[in-house]
Amino acid sequence: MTSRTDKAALILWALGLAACLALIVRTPFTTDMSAFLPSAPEPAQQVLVQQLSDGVASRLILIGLEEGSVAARAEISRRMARSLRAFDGLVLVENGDGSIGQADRDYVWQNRYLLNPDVTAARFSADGLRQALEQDLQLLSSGLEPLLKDSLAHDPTGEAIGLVHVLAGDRERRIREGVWVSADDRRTLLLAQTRAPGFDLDAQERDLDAVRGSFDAARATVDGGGDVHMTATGPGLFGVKTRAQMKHDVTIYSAIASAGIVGLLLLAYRSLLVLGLTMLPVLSGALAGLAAVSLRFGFVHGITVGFGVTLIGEAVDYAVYLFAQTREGGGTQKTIRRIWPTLRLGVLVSICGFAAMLFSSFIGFVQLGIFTIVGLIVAVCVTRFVLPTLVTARFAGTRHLSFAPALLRVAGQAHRLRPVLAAVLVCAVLWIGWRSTTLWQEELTSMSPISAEDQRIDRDLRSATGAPDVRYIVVATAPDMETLLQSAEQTSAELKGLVTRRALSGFESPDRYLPSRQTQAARRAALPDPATLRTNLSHAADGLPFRSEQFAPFLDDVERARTAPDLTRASLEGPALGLKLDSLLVRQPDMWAAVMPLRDVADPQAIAAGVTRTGQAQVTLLDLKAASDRLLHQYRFEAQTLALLGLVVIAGLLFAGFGSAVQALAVLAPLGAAVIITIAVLILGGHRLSIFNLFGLLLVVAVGSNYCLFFQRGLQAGEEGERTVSSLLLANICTVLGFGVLSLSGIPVLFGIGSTVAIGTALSLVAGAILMARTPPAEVP
Amino acid sequence: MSRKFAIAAVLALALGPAQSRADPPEQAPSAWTLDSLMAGLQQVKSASAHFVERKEMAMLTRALESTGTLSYVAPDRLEKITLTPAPETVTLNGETLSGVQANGEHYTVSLSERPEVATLVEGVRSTLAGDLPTLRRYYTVDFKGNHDDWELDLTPKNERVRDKVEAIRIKGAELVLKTIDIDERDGDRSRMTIIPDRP
Repeated sequence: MTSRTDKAALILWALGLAACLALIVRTPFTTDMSAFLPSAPEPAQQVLVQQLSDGVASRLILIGLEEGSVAARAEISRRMARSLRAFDGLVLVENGDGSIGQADRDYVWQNRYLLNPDVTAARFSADGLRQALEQDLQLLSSGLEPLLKDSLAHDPTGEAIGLVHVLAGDRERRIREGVWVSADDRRTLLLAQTRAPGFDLDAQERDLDAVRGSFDAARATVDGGGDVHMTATGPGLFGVKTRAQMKHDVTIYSAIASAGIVGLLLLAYRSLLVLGLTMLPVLSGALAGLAAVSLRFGFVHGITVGFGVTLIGEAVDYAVYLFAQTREGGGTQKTIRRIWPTLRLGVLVSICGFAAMLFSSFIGFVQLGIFTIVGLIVAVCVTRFVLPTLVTARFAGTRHLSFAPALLRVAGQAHRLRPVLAAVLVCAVLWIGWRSTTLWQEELTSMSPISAEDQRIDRDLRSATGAPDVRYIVVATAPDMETLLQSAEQTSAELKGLVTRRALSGFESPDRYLPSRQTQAARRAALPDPATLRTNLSHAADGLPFRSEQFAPFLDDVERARTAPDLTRASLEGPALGLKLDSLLVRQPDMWAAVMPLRDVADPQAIAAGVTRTGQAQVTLLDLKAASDRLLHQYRFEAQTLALLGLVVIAGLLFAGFGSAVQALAVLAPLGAAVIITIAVLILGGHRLSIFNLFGLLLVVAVGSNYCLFFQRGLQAGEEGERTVSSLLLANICTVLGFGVLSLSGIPVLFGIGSTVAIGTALSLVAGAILMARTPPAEVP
Repeated sequence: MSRKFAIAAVLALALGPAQSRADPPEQAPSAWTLDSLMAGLQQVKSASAHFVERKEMAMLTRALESTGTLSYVAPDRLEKITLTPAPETVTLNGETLSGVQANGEHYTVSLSERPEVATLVEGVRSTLAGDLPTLRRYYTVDFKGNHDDWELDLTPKNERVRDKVEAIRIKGAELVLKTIDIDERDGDRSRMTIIPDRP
């Protein structure tokens, strides 16, 4: 007995689902974490965000080999380096074995006069050359002369030796058995730089698998390799680990929660068909939500799917209200018409809550906002127009629960608890007020899901390898590359002074690999013309036993350098040094930025003052930790503002919906009480609120408002009231079960949202019952 | 050109050891003589001497001559102090080579980080210490002569060193070293003549 409109609804629904499916199968899903980094921060923050997600530091994998014999570790290190250098995902593998590419050697050797900061006119005067030749003579009389003398004819002033740090990095490395080891000899060290940015977790995972694979292969084939263990660390590894743990936790806990919810609903309905139908609105909503996100963005983030489905879990409640409130033989059409106004208002309230996410700076959250809003609208429409049509013929209504009458009596007496609720509320407000200065989590790291053990390994390996400081970097910005390199040069000079004053132990700078044109010109100008150089050299060699024709190659090389074209970025195509240079330069839409990683920063104030002294307004010492904490603060402020705005809109909506302040307050009061008490509970024991708790509270408002709306209508005596109150309890148990299980996870985001929603919705139900109007009003029209 | 640069960088860069080749099966030297020389040298706890070193090099118009003192303290300390033409001190202590140049500059080199340097210095030190296993790690050792007039011919095993140094020949009598000759691949050569200080 379906009407024409019902049929139309069914057809529309089926077509819609098909269209969504067709769209979704063509949609790329990404796990690129940059979607959860803000999309349009200020220019200065762009560098920060870029560094956090894509900087050199974010691309490093630090590897330590421990235990076993030094020789076995060295052999494993060599074999790993050999196989990993052939692996495409890694651009650089360092293990101290000195295997520097021929292209890099050639670049430095051939361009030594343009690259070496020591190249000055004085060095090539007769006096300067005399000094150099005397030193050369001394080198020749040393016992190591056989190793040194060959380069003298080309490079009597030793420019190439002065550039060795360009190739090797300027850190002092300890070498045992031919490979790099830590200062205490306990670890053999390797350092790899990935081609993919740190946030590209798929690529990072593949790279890490390659590292692990090469270790396993080497360990199995080296004598005594069985005792050797590998530890590794790096931002990419943390990302991959976090994602794996998140996947694991979400899978395990949602399986447990789903099993619980399904069991509970089966117990209540005693019908697989009804159970299936209960899931229909959520599934339809999820598909529509995905399709909408895909239409708007062209891709869907993995997290949007995972969390989105959790967020629209409230749609399960819609079907629960419908089925649990339908009397046996009563017919769902009648029920839906009765509860529709409440349901409709509830969905609108939820949408207002979730709409806050649409204005977020994170693309990820905007996706979540679109997903939940579209998902809820579709879910409620399916509940309203499709479910009743599907079940009218067969649905016999749900069992009458035996404890329902008692439940209704309890609900009827709940108002007696108002003084208790008031007292608890006052305590909660006082407690929150007392904690108001330490209410929020201010440090990004404290929200990190990295285990203490992993953080220890990270600290150890980082200090052992001398990898760049993860907290401080110097950033220079300029409108063009030339200006940028010039300020990098000035900053380098300043930093060099700071290194001798022990404010830091070393740094990297792009001008080391590619000097500015200005500097190249100055160095070129410092080189004398052939005739002058020849004269200077013969004066210098006067009285020294060098053969006069000995230095012909030197004269040729200097002349070649003097007339050589400028080095540009293109000169570094090929050498691995080009990759190093690229990792230190950041191209922005209308400017260039140079990133100068620092090592072992001991005195950040001195460095900050030093780089300011260079007089370059665009050079700054960036404290990534302070900056990211500031960024977090800003996002939290944004989220708070949006949440408050959402509340105002919800209040306005309720006033508009009821046309009565009293009725709107009847919904808002228990909801407000629940939120306040939830916050007080969450900060028990010195815990601080995170941005995840804030999102949890948004969900509490969205879900809890439904309960409060039903209570606001009052409970009819008899079976109808009994069914209403038991449907609310059933819906709430489903929610508490689903989210409560999530709070078992150790991952901050899951724990934060899970615990907040479980506590908050339960409190909403209780507060709604306690504050329910004592005389049931007439049926709401 | 770049090959030469590689050599220049040897000192400052942590270049790994060249692949060591399997030892060619050594003809068992008259085991008695080499072993007893080494055993005897092990008993020497300290020694000091003056030296005169003369280097003949193609790039120089005349030979370089330097003089100074050598002192050895068992098991692993060797010091070479050059007095003329310019003062310079080089000390080899354990696995660290350190020195002060005439211009006052200090430097240190870790032997395990510079296998080429290690090769060159171990030729003399392991001989003084009577440490045959270490000597054989770096060199193919050839012994000839007798108690009163012996000669150790050391051929480097490290390929990069062998490209430069053909052989080191140490001559001595009883437990005293008398000359150290270094023959380089390009024809350059040096000879250090050692005059022991009599206690």
